[in-house]
Amino acid sequence: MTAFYDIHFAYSCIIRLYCIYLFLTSLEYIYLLPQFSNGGIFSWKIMKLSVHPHIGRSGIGFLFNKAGFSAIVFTRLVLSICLFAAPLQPLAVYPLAILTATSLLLALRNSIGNDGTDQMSMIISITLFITFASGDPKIAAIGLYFIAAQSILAYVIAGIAKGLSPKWRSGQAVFQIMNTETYGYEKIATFLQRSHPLAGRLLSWNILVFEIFYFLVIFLPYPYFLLLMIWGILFHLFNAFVMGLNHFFWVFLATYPAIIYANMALHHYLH
Amino acid sequence: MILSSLFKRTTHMTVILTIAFYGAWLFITLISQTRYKWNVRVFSFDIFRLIPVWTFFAPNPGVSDYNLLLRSRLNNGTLTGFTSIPLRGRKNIGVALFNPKRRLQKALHDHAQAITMQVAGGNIKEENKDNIKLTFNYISILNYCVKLPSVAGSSSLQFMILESFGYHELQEPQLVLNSGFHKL
Repeated sequence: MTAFYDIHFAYSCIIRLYCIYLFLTSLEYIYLLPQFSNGGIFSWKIMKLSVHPHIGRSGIGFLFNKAGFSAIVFTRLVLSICLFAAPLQPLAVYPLAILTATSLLLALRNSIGNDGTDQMSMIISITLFITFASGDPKIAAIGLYFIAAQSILAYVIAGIAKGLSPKWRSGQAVFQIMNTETYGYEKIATFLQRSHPLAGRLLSWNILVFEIFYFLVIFLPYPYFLLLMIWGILFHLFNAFVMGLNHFFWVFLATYPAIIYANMALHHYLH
Repeated sequence: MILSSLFKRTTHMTVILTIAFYGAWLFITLISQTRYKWNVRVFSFDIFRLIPVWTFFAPNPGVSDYNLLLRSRLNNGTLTGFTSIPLRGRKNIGVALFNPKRRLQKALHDHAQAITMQVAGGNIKEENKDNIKLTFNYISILNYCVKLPSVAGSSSLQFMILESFGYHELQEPQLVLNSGFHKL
């Protein structure tokens, strides 16, 4: 575990996990490429109506039609493989610069169909680029603290927002989400519908308490903080297999080495 | 790999600027989790979507599914029945790795929610209901529908967005939008 206190090891883990996320999202984009042509739901001809008029009319429009978009996606696919193979080479700053630029372009282009994974991916991408561009160990450490802080904020804010909701506190939310065809699973919904309301409430409060108290992952000493992380991994695995939220697993897992580094740095400082 | 070549020393000022940059990003993230009048403007400038919203499935979780249905008017004037356009992939163990249709489904969800919000917000009323046809969301769905394979002999099509409430139908499906007929 102390290996994560080595900044290079922490970054190599983050980059490799992030590359898996990039590889999988690029493959999904390739599968969806027909949807980025003029007749697709992500057609640039239509999407440009939703972006600032200057962007719609600007010269970068050629990057957003099907051919340009395909070039971006295939570039990201290739770079994810290269970076995975050699994450800490000094030349990694160039693929990271391209990945950051293409992440910004994708965010600019796609005003619909995005979710929290795209935002966490952007945070990781920009931080990696800043770290490698600066080449300073202090900036590298600050970058890890920043990724850790955003990741912890994501859990804690989601927990507080759930705590404010009567549906979550009563346990109805878990059943109602599991009951949807988009994110749910019929057998689990049926089980929850037939079981005592306490089952839904237990599941609901389990998520709520875990998310609200996730900030403890920074303060708890080894090995206790690992319990929260294992819970997080199981939580994301459940979301991936049952809800189909596959990207969340990889992109949030990519932030875990930064959290471990921040935890160890804090305890190192205290001792 | 030579690690020392990866990390070099930079100036104090660069470090301070980096802390300020990350600190500002964290601060803006923190104050932007709820939309107020004053921070809606901040979001309007965020063209790269750098401000994350971390309130996943809360406070009001999505408890419904949006469905896209389509029917055609044939050249002889007869109407076909509404058919559902499959936007959701089959749930199997593979979705844990590869789930491209999730983005497609999310796109329809975003469009349907935007249309619902425009109606709920009072932007679209009975007297100006045709204005919905000028919105990005309506045009986008229409563009998608007209490019789908249609029944032979179709002269125009109509789409419908229906909100359904799960495997165990918790309530009757609700109509979000019923388009007019559009010539093919």
